[in-house]
Amino acid sequence: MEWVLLAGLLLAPVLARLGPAPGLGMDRDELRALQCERLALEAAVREEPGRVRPGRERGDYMDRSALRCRQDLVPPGLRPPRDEAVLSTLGAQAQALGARAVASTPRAGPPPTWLVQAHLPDPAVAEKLRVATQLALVAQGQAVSDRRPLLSPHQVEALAALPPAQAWPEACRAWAPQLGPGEALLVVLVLDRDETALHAGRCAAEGWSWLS
Amino acid sequence: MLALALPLALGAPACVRAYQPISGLQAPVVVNPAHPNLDGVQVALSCQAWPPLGPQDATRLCERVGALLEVQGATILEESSDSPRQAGTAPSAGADPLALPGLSPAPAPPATSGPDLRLSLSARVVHRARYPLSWLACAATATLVPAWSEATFAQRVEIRDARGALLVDRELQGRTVRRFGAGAVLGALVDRVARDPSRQVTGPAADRALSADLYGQLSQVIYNAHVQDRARRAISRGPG
Amino acid sequence: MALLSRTVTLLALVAGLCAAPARAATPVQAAQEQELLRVRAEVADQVQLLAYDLVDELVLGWSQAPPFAAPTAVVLAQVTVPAGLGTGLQALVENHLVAALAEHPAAGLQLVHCPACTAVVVRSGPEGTVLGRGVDDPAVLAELAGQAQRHALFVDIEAEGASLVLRARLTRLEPDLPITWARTISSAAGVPALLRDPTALKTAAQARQEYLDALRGRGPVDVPVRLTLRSYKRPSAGSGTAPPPFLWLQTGVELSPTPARAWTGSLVLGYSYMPQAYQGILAQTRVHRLLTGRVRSTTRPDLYAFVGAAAIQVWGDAVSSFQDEALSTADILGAADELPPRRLFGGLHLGLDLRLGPHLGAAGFLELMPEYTDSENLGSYFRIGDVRFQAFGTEVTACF
Repeated sequence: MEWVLLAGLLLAPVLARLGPAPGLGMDRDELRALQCERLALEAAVREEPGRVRPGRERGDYMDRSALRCRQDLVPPGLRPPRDEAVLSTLGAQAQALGARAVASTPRAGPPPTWLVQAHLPDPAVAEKLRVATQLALVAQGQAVSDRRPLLSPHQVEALAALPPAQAWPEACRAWAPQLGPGEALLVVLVLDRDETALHAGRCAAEGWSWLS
Repeated sequence: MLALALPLALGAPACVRAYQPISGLQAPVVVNPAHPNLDGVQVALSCQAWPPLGPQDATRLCERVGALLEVQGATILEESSDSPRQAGTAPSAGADPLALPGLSPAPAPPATSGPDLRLSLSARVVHRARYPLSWLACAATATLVPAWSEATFAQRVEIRDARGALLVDRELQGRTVRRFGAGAVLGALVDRVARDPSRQVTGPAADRALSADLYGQLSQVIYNAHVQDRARRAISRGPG
Repeated sequence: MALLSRTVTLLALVAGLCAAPARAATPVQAAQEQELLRVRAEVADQVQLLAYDLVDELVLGWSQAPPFAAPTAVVLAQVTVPAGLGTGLQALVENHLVAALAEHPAAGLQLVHCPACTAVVVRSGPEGTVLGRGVDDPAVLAELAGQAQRHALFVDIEAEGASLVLRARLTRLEPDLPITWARTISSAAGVPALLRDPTALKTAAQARQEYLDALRGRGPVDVPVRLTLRSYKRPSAGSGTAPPPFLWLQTGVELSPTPARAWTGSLVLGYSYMPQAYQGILAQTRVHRLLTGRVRSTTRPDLYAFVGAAAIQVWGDAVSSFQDEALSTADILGAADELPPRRLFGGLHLGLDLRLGPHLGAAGFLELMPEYTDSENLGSYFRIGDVRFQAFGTEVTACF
């Protein structure tokens, strides 16, 4: 029995390092803070040199792949789920929004100068989304301005009483006089407090259009 | 001899399952799956069988998801017949890993027209591995060192509106790890005794976690699709 | 920062347009809030170094490719940090950015103070009363346009999953507020912090390349030179006499199958000599497994576990204790008249090896000698049932 224990002790360090896996080493909270992806062997050798042994020239005895996991910087639960849903994929969502905006531009005429607004329940998160979208547009070669068109308080009050499908085109009617020639306003918004997807609309001199 | 027999006896029935979300399954969820988020929405549901799980597993998943959506007020239509499924026919929650703990379906209103949303679920096995060295070590140590096998699965969720336009196409990935042996049983016992139930990762806790993740994500993406569909309809109707 | 009044009114708009009612927040107990604050502070500490690296790379990028043809006055308008991590981190990052710009005049950005730009101002007009910062106020910008051309620098840092992302933009302070320069820098959580030497900044790509070069530069073979002291436990009862400590000088080869050095094996030969007491030779083999990660680090200490076996031959007057029977006074006195005893035995050991950088290490191990399991001259430092570890060793290693 003692030799068995000894063998177990000796092998434990070897078998304890099979990668991040649910068990005594990691509990549910720690597992949920990992973002993982399975990589084919070639990709794993290329992207994680030194960590993954390349395949043998005559082939390995088994199919090998790698599970790459990265830990979230902000642990789950530290930020409200709605904010986390936007912030954890901020770059990707901003890229997609920028691409949709560019694709919506009429081909005739010069490309517009974009103004960007984001309307989310949390103003800090909305500002981050606005900045990320602005930079995504710049990265796609678009001209972007930091200017923000305004709505007066009584305009906001009137618009809040309308359903979304009507309110945003009406808001665009109020913004349009503040847009210079060749300027277009990209508005990023949520329609519902419980959704995690984002919607976008384009406001220009010719009026409001949803980007979907 | 007794020393060897004990772990073997312990290890004989000992296969401990654990679950780990890989991508998408641990994404934040805002909706409450027990609330009537989909009140009056008609959903056509189809689940495709995938190896190694057969048609009966796909049917069971469909029944569970149907029950989940009925709890949220949706009417479920069978994809083939578009006829409403009888409310309350969902199987009861038991030891099933995909069970819906604590949720009971609400009575469904009668269907009057075609579906508002078409939800299609399919899955595939991304990766499967058995570690032969771990089985050798398991045998050499009378199962004190656990033997391992694991599988990574991907659950694809596709939602279209009544006209067939794609609203959501997402893939959720998870991993199940199975350990065999007396060491695995001891580990599961420590997991159960020493950890808070919300942080446990093996056995029934793994099933509960998989259910919560999968149904939470499904609830969120279906709700997102519902909001998008509702907005599109309102926009297409125009002002007034 | 948005105009405050507008923020409030737009919030009302968003709230009004959202169809579903908001659910009431669950009350959080004081203890949970305390725990939340602690976790926030902990995360901010971890994020801080990563944020510094991103700021360094931003400044390095400006030094290599200045955004302006000539040195230009820039107002540091805003620095924001990941949502939910507090303003303490914001002040630290802002200070680091200012210091890095001061260290690198080649960046071409001259930070200037502009109270009108950063102060909160109140203006009343036909549209109503507007409360906001100067950089957001068209009237203030119109006044600034008459002065020397100025730009505003905005830096936003956000934690997106496993990555920290820095977004910087330069906006020309004129009524149209055009963004003249923008850059996004992303860093995965696992990137080592190598950029922080203020006199020799390097890009993340350069740092990564250096790290990989260092990994690959380590050949598969190292030559360790090791000084080992083996001590033998005195028996706790009886009249046995333990052997004296043995000091060994060892050298050989240490092999690794991959540059990661997660697994290594070694084979060494050793010699021990104590005048008028003993001499000895040994051959020893070991297998090491890295415990701290999957790749041996070039920048921080690493810990290995090892198991090994040694074959040892010793001779001399002081080695008589390597026998099962207790050493008697007659044995010791009679030894002078006989040929010095000679012993050959084996040992199995397991231990931990702390490697400090690529060249230095220190280890400790327990050794069992199956041949002397029942020896009355040896006690045990540690035992599992009948398995007794009679020897304890410490060693320092230099690798070449």
